[in-house]
Amino acid sequence: MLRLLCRFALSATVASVGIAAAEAHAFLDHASPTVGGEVARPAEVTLWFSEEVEPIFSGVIVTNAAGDRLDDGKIVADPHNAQELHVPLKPLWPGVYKVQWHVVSVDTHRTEGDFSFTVAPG
Amino acid sequence: MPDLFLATARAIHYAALAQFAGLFVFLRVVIGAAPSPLSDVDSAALRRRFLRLAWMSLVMITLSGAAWLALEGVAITDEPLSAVFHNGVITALLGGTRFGHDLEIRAALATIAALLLALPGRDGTHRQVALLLLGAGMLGGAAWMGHAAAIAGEAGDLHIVVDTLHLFAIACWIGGLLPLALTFTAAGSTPDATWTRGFCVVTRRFSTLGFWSVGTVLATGVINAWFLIDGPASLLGTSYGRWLLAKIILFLAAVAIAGVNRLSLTPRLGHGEASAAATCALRRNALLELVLGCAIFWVIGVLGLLPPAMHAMAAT
Repeated sequence: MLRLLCRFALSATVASVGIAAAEAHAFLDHASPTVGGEVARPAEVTLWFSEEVEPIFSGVIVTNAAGDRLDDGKIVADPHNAQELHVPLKPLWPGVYKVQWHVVSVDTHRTEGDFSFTVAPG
Repeated sequence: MPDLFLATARAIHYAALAQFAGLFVFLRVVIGAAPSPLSDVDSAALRRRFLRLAWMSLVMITLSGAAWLALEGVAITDEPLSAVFHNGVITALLGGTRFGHDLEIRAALATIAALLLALPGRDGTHRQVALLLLGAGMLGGAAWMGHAAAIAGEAGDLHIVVDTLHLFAIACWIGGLLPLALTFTAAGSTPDATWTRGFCVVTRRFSTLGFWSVGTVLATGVINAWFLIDGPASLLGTSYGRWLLAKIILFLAAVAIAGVNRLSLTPRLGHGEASAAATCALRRNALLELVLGCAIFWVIGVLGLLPPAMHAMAAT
C-alpha cells in the first residue's frame, strides 16, 4: 500500500511541468468617480469589480498630485454587493487625484491597479 | 517558487478529497452489490487496507489543507512564510474570507469522519453511507473555493453546482481505482470460485460506475468550459487554455484505457486462463489510470491559480 502511494506521489510530481505565474482575477469593472472623469467634490470613491472580493485583504489609497493621502484609511464593503467597495474621502480641493487599489477575490487571487480622476473647480 | 508549492498543495488536497469520497462510493455502490464474500467485505486483510486508505486520505486532506492555508497567506500578502504565522494573516484568512470559512467547515467534516472511522465495531451500511456523505460534503466545499465561487448571481450558483458534480464524478472514477486495484490484489491471492464470481461482479459494476462518471465529467466539463473559456482562440492563446488542453489530453488518455478495460478485458473475466491474464491487465490499467488521475489533479491545482481564459482574454 505504501509502495503504491509513493509511486502515485512520484507520478504526480513527475507529471508537473513549468507553472505559469499567477495573474489577475478580479478586474476593476467601473468606478465612481469614473476613470479619468471630472466631478464635483466627491464624498467617497466607489469601485465595482468583476468578481466578489474579500475586503479584509483589500485596500484603496487616494492621493493628490503632491502625494498626500486623502482617504481616511478605511474601505467599506457594500452589504448587498460583494463586488463593490466604498472608500470615504476627506474634503477634496480642485485638482487631479490618483486611486491605487488592490483586492483579493473570493477565489483568493490578488489584483491591483490604479486610475485618476479630476475634481473640477467651483 | 511559492506558486509551485501552492499548486502542489491544491492538487494533493483535491486528490485526497476525491480518494476519500471515491473509496466510500466504491464500498457502497460497487462492493455493496456484489455477492458474498465481497459484499460482506469478509476479507479481513482487504477491510484493513480500505480502512488504512480512508485514514491516509483523511491525513492527507488535513495536511494539504493546512499547507494550502499557509501558502495562500504567502500568495495573498507577499510576505514570507514565517511572517504569515506571526502577523495575524492565518487568523484573518480563517475568520474573514470565504476560503477560510470553507476550510473550517471541511476541517469539521473531516473531524466527524475521523470519529466515525475510529468507532469500534463492524463497518456497516449506515457508517459507510455517513462517511460517503461526509466525503461528498467535503468535495462540494472545494467547489466553493474555486473560480465558480467568484461569479455572482444565478450564473455563479449554477457554476458551483456543475463544479461540484464535476468533482464528485472525478471522485467516483479516479477515487475508485485504488480500491479496485486492492480488490484485484485480494482476488489474485484468493483463488476461490466464490471470490472469483464476486470479483467479476465488482469489476463489471465499477466499469458501469466508471462509464457514467466519465460521462458526467465530460458533460460538466463542457459546461465549465462555457463559463471559463472565451472561444477556441483562448485555448491556445492563454495559459489557462493551454493547461486546460493538457487536462483534456490526460482525460482522453485515461478514458482510452478505461475503454479497453470495459470493452476488451472485463468481458474475459471468469473464463478460464483468459480471466487470469485479464485480471493482471485490469490491475495494471487501473494503476495507469490512477497515475493519469494524479496528473489531472496536478493540472487542476495549477488551473486554480490562473485567471480563467475568458478573463485573461478580456484583460488583453
